[in-house]
Amino acid sequence: MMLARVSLRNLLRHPWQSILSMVGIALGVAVVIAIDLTNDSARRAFKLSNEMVAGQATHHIIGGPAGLDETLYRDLRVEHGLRQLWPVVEGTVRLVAHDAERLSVIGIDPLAQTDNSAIYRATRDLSATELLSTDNAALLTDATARRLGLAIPGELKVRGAGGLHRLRVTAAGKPGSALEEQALRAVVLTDIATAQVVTGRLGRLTRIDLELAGPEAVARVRRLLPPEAELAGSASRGNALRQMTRAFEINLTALSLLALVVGMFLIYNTMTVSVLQRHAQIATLRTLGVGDRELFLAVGGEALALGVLGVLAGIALGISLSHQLLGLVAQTINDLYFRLDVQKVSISALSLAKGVALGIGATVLAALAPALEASRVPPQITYTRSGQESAARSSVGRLARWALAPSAAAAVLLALPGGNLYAGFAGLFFAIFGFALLAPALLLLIVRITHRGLSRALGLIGRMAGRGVTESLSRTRVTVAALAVAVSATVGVGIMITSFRATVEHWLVNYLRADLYVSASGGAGNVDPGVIRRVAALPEVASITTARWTKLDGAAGRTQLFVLDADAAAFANFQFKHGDAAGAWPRFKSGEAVIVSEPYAYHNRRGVGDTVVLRTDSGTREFAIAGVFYDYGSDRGVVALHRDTYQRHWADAAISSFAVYLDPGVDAERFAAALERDVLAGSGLTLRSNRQLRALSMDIFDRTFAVTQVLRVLTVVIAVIGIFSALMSIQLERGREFAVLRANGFTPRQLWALVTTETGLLGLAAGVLALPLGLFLALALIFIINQRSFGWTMQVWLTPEHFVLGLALAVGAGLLAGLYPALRLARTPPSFALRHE
Amino acid sequence: MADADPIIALSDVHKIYPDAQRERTVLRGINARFRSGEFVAILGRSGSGKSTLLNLLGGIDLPSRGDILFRGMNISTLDERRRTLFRREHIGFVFQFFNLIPTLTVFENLAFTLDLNGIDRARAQQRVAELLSQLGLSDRADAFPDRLSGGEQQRIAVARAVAHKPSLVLADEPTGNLDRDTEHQVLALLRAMPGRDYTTVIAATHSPEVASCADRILHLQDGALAEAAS
Repeated sequence: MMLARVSLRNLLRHPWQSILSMVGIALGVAVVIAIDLTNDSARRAFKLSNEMVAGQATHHIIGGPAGLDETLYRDLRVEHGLRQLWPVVEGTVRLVAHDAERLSVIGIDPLAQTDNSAIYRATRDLSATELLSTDNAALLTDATARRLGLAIPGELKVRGAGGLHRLRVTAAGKPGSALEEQALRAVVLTDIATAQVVTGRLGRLTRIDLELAGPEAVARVRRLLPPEAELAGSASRGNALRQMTRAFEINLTALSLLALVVGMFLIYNTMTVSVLQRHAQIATLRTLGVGDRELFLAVGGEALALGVLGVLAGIALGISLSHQLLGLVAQTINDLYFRLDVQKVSISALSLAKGVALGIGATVLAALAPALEASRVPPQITYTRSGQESAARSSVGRLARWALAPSAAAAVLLALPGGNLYAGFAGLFFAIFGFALLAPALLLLIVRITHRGLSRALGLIGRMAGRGVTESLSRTRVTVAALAVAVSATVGVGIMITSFRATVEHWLVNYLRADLYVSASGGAGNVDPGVIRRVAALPEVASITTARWTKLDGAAGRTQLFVLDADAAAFANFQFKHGDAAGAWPRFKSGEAVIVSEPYAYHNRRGVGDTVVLRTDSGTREFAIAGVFYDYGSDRGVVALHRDTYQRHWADAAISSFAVYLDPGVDAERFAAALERDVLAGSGLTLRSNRQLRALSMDIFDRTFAVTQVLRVLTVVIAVIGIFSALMSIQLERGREFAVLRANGFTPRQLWALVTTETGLLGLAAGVLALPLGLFLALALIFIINQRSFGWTMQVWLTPEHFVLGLALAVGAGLLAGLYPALRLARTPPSFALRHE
Repeated sequence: MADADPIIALSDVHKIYPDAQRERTVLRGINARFRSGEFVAILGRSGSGKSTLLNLLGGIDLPSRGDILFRGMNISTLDERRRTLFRREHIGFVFQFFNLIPTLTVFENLAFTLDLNGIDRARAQQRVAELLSQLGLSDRADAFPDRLSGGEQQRIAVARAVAHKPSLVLADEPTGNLDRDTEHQVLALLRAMPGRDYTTVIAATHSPEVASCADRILHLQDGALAEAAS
């Protein structure tokens, strides 16, 4: 096919333009694939760890915060004859060595364990008596033992409830598959009794797994359960936990799609400029009898070729990038949601297929308009560039009117009641599209405004640069719109992160009022009440508040409880969105009411005056909501209740942390050093000053947004690459025009100044346009996307840095893109350029 | 005007361009017939409508009024796709600025219209080799157009116009961009192109040299076509 050859050679004739567009799509696809693979790997790791012990269990029995009484297991097995059930104790400990790495402790009954579970498969070659015959016996996988440098048999020192524990690792098992190996990487397996000791759950079980056949069996077990226990389907726990990370995943996916949209704009830009530049050639082809459909396919084919190559490169890059992102995403899940050990990226064919489909789809979509443009080129023998430019100028008003439709769609989607997150993202993308249509009109306005200044500052070159932009509107409008969109994305995300960070920082200052905070290390650790009494007795201590963080799992999901033993003054540290401290305190203290965090109220559609239903040890109970408070510690939300209320309804006296308020004038640092030395030494408790705790919180915040920052930088890279390519090609196209200037006495230096002023002006225009769009994106992210994802209220925090950076980025990209053509054109003898045009 | 065996005939053809202020009539009721195999030169001032007339004859543009019959088929009533196919099969174009496809070699430029017309590869290669040999440009077969002189480019353009043996070759200022020596070469080629006996050539030109080679000369003035006195 000769036409295909024409297309292919056209791509090869402009290798840098082709390669840069390809890189744009490759990076876009890489980001999408990397995020999908990372999310998928985290999901798989979660699923695997969830199934690890459950095996063939169809249901599980769960209790309150303190778990289940172990006698329930015995009763069900012995008294009621249930056979297919397996007790589990779960908790977390920290290794004494290896940077205090966290390990999950899973306690099982080796004699009852199902052979369908990964745990069993990993250890089935070992005798059940390995666990039962030795005190504090524990099993690891072979690989974990090697990783920890542990000889078998050997001793594993861990810090758990009550301090140091020595586990006797009697054997190491070999998991059945690499996935199981991964899931068991940070797991230590013990019998029930040992797990109860190291996690501080003496006489308690975390849950009982069961295999139940049919509704009758389910109903029978339900009848046998005490009020504090609940029977739930096995899938429900996983679903509830998965639900917690859903918004986080959606946000990452949307940001990765934003990178692809920027890549799409670049393909559109490249293809549009390429079609415009080949207008005369296309007209010749039309004259020779090439049909509109063939031209459409030829231009589409060119874009597709770039897209396919870009996608292939994007797959390789995406897989590589996912390895870098996995650590960041896993860290966030561990910081914010639940313990998850995920080390390896699972390369899923579905993720790759999604990336390929999105990459190709984006390319085809982006190439649609330029391909249509090519097919509509009339077969006129005489082609005039001025005609093309005049058509471009006359379309400015029409495009601005067309912008109304996507803008209206964006307004509707963003304002849609019900708060659908997907509709929010669709609204954002419509808004970007509408703005791109408006960009040519705004570009003309900016050039008109800057014209006089440029003319005064640079004389003839300034006037020519301004006119160069408007006289090449058919090309420059697309490039400026693409650059503006790309820069606005980084400005918008930047403002959103800064605002969020400032909001959290401000909240922490108000919320963390105590001088010192002491917490138990490890997830399972508790604070010894004796320690609290000793600290409270110290003369420098004005008051102490204790806190218990725990969760209630149920068929309907997980509820995070924050149990507070505080006085009215400490309670006043809560910042209320609805209700107030003075009004809520008496009801909170009396146990009549609880208060809920803003995300909890949002996700559960609850407010002041509504009730929260919680499963207590004596069955479900309704609590009135006395207030809704701001909280940025959990995106799923928490229910806060007074310690007295909690202990009335749940048999759990554990304390997770306590806060120390010192008398005025006491040197907090000196007191902390003494406290560490005299009271806390060897207790396994961690002491942090107010400043340290705030710094730690902000570290976690920054880690949470590390992935976002990576995506933001990648989006900028994609944009700069694409714009560089487009601006370069626009300038190189004007070789003859510049040769005429040189022939008429323009010096190479003047030419250099003209080209860079023009590309700089284009960059400036894009930068100026990017600022309002960036601000709009930021506001939409803050007030709509984050609200719909997490339910958080954020303060908008506008600092000049993002605007200055966005502007500098756009102008810098423009100037940089002008350098090469300016140098090349200035060095080319005018006679050569005139002869070869 | 020619009477016998018209390959293409114009009947009361008008072309009016809508303008911002007023309509601009370029052609007013043109009637003309062109025989198979004749060489016709159309003379006229710049802007007189010569290129417009060629565009209408080639089915590139449509008349505002009137009919253009190609072997009895009214091409003014064809849709865009059918006019494209008509051009592909029956028309050859020669442009003032050559308009070779810059990304194709000389050989490929000549094979292009053959490829469009579905001529198989072996026959196309044979035909192109034959044309290049007649032009004396066989050694430039693999060169890209930007490596050729203006004269060479226009000779290749003429060869491309006749490669698929069209019934009608339309040449718009075919020598307008060439020096006198090269003009002679191109004219000789247009007159003596392979298979010329059955191909009608209509050339719009300012050049007296082109006119002197023509079998007939038509003058386009004020939108009307008139036969020059012989």
